[in-house]
Amino acid sequence: MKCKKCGERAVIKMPQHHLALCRQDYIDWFIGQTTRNIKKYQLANPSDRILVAVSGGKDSLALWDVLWRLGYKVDGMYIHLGITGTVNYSTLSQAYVEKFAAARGLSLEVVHVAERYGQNIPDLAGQSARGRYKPCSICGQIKRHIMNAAAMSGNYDVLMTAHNLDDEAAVLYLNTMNWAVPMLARQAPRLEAHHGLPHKAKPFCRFYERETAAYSLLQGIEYIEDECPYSAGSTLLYYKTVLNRMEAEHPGTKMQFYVQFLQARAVLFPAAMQEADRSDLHPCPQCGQPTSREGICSFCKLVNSTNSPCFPNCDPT
Amino acid sequence: MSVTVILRKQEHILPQAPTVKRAMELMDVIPETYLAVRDGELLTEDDRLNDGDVIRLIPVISGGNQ
Repeated sequence: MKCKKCGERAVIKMPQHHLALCRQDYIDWFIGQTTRNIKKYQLANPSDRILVAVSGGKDSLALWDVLWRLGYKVDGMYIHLGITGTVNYSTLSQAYVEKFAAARGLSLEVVHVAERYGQNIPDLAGQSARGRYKPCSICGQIKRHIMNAAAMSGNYDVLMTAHNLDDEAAVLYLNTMNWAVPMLARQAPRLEAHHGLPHKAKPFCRFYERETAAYSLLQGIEYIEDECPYSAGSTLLYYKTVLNRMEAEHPGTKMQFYVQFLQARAVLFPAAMQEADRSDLHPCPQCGQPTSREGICSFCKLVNSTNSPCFPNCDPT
Repeated sequence: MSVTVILRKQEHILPQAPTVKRAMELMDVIPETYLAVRDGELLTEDDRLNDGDVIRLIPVISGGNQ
């Protein structure tokens, strides 16, 4: 198979785009598409200070690499979750992130969950009824809190995450199956700053997961290939598999599902476009981040139970 | 012919896999969820495989909750 642009040997075929590209044309295409996504969804201005959340995986390191190549002022933040497994998962992931940052002279902040909040993620998850069976949901909640706090205290203009189209389509599928209307209303490539939360953006939301993996491989970015030991059997992985089976039969299914939703979203949820108007949110009296709960937020409730000697004074919010 | 496929650190010998696509079928993986690499070079599904080739299938799907 030949590259559609130059005729050299193609290294990747993307049926949903009717495109096959060689190494260099793919790298150029990928960086160009990121620029187009940023412009299309107004994700950042050239002068913005960006904080990118990095995990050591292919997506987030690819995002950091592309933003750096595009000349953005971008710092990274890694959250050490305290997950071990057979490969000492969190420590190994951190090593990949640190190597990446050092090679490019980029600034990296590392937050150790256990040092800041008294316990690591598996132990925190084990304390809640929800997390005992679904540690991923507790992990997501804690990571969101830490990312929000870091973006606000560091005066960043944008908090970026490397969610790809497979991530977005799987969440969309899950929320549609559950008719989780508030979650559907909030799913977008760009979320405005509101109620003490930072402006958030997902520049990779139109890339298939194999496209971000291909970019990392072709750029020689070393990343952790091992999966988080807690992700096995996760609901999102199940939905990703279902969507990929459909994609194999009908190329473009995932893209259609997500992109058409974004177009329908403005019609389906016009009020959601004004997140700042949400009257159900108030600042948590302990950490200050918005919550719809009465009293302290669910994050503070969880962390208070660890009797961490440092929290909440250690929290940058 | 035979081709060696490395998937999740395990080696599998495939006797009849003339293309990457066929190798993925024999390994019962969804092509969308893996990248194939031979001698450090990324392959497309249509690339032909030769006797004695060693290819690595790299999983690309990850993630727990958002």
